[in-house]
Amino acid sequence: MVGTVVFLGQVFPPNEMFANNSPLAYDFSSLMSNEFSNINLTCAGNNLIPSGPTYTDIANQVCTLQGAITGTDLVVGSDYISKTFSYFPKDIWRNFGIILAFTLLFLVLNGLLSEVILYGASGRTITFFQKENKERKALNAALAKKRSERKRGDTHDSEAEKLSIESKRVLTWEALNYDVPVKGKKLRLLKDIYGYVKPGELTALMGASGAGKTTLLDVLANRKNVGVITGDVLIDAKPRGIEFQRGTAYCEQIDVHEDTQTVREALRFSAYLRQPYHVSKEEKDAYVEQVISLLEMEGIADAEIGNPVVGLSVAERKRVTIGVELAAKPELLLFLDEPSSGILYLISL
Amino acid sequence: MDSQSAYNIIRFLRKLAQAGQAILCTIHQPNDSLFEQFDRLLLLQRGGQTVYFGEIGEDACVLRDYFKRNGAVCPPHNNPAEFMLEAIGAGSRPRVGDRDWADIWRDSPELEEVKKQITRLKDERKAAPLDLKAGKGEYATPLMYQIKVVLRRMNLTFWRSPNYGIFRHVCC
Repeated sequence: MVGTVVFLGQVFPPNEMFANNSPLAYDFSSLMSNEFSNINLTCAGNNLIPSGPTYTDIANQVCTLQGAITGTDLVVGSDYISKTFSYFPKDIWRNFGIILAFTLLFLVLNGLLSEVILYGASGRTITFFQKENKERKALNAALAKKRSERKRGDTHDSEAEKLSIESKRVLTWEALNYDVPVKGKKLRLLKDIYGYVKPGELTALMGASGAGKTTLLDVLANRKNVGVITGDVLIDAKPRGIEFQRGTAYCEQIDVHEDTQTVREALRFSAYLRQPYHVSKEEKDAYVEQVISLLEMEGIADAEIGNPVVGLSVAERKRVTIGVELAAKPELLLFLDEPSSGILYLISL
Repeated sequence: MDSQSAYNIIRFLRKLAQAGQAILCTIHQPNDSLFEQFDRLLLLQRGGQTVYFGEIGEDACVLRDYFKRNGAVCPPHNNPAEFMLEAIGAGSRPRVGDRDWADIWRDSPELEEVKKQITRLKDERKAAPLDLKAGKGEYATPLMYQIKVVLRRMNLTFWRSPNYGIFRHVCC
């Protein structure tokens, strides 16, 4: 009951609009009636008129509470609430019946509608597209042409070659330990880990849940601000500097996006802010088109990202996440946390 | 996500790696075809200890070989990813063998090789010419430019969510 009030906001008082449609009103009415029907209120102090130390005879005083009877300072609880709030104790079980009927109605509706409406399914949902203007029309035409070429196999893997990442830098880690303080003691989450990531290689990080996969990823990406990290994490034999995170991209497990943006806008936003300032806008835009083509997002480039109910599906959102990170042109490393699990962020939050 | 979409995502990553990107990716129980796409594996067990770091190889042969030498033979048609998680006791069954897999790794010639390789890589990169294009400073773009771009996006967002604006001005 408290929960419902907190989340729904308000109980409509009786005799007002909506009151008869709200299960909560009947609910509250019954509770109040039940509470008040067993008590008698005693009028005292300021509720009596006139009041004061010299007025001692109740026959000459009147109680100001609603439902009071002249000549007595007792107010019957049920009279009080029926006069004040129009809650009638005789309605308790009628209200109970109404609530049951409401429950049944909603359950039946829920059952029926869930058959008809697909809510937040991972399959196709409704997607809105931005209207093409001249620029977007040209870009989409170019993408479509590239796509059909790829389908025919004329330019096999050509876009992978075009999208070249020149960096040859290597990330290595040696004797990596990570301790966090837990209740005054140190808990070792990562123990003596050696490894490296080279350009052009796809490295998998596996293990049982709770083994510290995400922790290791976060430690390597320099995203931990609690605990003590010992051991060497080096880029080209040099420690990570302040610019380290600029050179890396990190796709989190949860896909967080600005709902109202289109895919192309989201990628461009990332490219404008995260690629070096001296790179021209045209170059950045061209790079974004390459990323769209690489991730095979030609069909959804102008689609509004939206939410999983109205907008892109879970798999498409994951692709956008990767695209946004790629658009930043990470020259060092791309981190991904469980890219294939596809958690619906609405549910996981 | 269905397995087709999951496979697609990993396929994109494969493409990226081919273009020269370095990628590190956590993954939860991949199936056969997904697992094959990866070059290298870092396997952790409970407590953040390494069980294996190294190549996977064609049809996971390098990985299978390592486990075989240490007493866990993977049947040829089993999913190697699933098999090794079971073998180290990450699944529902107890681990294979009486020695802790982290201890086995600590004494293995493979770890020695990894350490040597790391030293080699570091030396190689020290000798390489300095990359002058690499950016300095924490942010890629100046503050004023950042403010401009973010403001533009924010305004666009407000413009595209009229409910919010109308409600704010009319109602309260």
